[in-house]
Amino acid sequence: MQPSSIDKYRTYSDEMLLRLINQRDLLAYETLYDRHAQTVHNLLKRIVYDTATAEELLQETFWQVWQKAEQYAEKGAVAAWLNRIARNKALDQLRHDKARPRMTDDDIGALEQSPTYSYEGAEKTVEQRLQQQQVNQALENIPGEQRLCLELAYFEGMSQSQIAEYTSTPLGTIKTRMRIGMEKLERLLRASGYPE
Amino acid sequence: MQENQTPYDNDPNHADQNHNRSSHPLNYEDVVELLPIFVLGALEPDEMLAVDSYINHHQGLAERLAQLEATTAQLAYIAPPLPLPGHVKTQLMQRVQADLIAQQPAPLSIPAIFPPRRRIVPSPGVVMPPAAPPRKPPTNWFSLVTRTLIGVGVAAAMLLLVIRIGQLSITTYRLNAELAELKAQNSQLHTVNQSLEQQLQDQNNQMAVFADKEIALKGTDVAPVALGQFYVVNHKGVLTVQDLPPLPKNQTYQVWLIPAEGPPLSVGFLEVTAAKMGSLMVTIPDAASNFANVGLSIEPIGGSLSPTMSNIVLLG
Repeated sequence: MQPSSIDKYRTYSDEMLLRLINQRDLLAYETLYDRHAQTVHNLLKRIVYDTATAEELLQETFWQVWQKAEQYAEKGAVAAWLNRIARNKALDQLRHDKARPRMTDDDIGALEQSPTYSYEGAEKTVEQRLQQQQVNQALENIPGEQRLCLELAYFEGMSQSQIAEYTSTPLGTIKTRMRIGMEKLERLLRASGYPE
Repeated sequence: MQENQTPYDNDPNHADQNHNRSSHPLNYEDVVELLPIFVLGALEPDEMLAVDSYINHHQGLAERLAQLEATTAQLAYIAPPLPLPGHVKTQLMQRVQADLIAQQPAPLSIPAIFPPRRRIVPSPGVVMPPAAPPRKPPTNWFSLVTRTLIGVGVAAAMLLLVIRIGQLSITTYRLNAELAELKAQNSQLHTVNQSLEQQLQDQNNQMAVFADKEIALKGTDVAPVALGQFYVVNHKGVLTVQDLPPLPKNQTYQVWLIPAEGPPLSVGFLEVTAAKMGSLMVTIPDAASNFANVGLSIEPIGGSLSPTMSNIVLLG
């Protein structure tokens, strides 16, 4: 295939690529993978910790895209759809294993104190880098205890009652923290242009 | 809002109260309040089911749900970045290509040459003429034999036609399958090629750090897209090339160091892979220690005493 073809595909939107994947277009599939695999892999590794499992789930996530591209409902961003598939697979794996080391109290303390993770040195597209900056900035403006609830739910797959037990905090407080944290995150992201 | 002060916290049974909320029917306000936790998947299983059921019956919440799901998806971007393993993509593309080939359609069925004869049914109100009485069979034997022969001939021709169409259908199917396979292979090669080129670029970058001298080689008219780099470290040289086609078995690429004065000196033979790339480490002879240029030429197998000028492919 000529390089110009790949370049052309790189200009296509995610939605267009998915439509082409539906027609069994390999280049469209490869382009979508190149565009999103990094974020999906980061997410999977953050949830399952284990490198081999994360790689296996990365492949399974994109295999599902190949097999069931038509299930994308076009109600939201393709990236959100992909992240949802990946997260569900990772959390299913966690529930299946139930052996992954949980965060220690020290980890929780560090998470509450630290504004965000560091992203220096990572190779990303400009768009992804901007997106990460936006999310990081938004999270920096959310109180640590609210951010902790969101991250325990999103990355650890904990339910509200598990978070309450884990952090020795009343359930009602956890509910409120999660709700306010999410609404605040939404407001801040929207103010900065995300999510679309 | 003071998020630490909730109505539930002063009640020692708050957990039960919260949890039991799903035991009675949810109203709109309940669901709106629970949606942020629902999209995180953090409600209890019975609450998840109840909210899910409520949403399914109240399409007005779909937009709010989509907004919250989009927000939730953004959390993926705060996962710490890690190197992306290249072998996952390779394996995945192979899997997808195999699936693509397996999904090729079965051979086309041979279409009927003549459509089935339709029975004529009169429309309501249309009076059909009475059927003609059966004719008496002809008794002309010559005519009967002739018509039989013609019928046999037509049947044979039709049979041959059907066989030919069948052959063409099979050929078309086979060609389609081959085409799909070639496309898949092409895509795979493209992926491999990209990866190899990246590796080569990385190697070149690393070499450039340690090299005393670096010479860029450009393709001549014989191989206009070819590129090369020659790095010198002490008395050793490393040549890397790309986009250079493999040669027939009776030819070889010969590497030359060209002093400012004097004839070019051969320092080795370069092999090029199917991916059109190759590298060679050479020892720089004293006679060429102050060489001015590097060249690569196509020579007969075994090499030549001097480069064939019309066959120089890279020069720098």
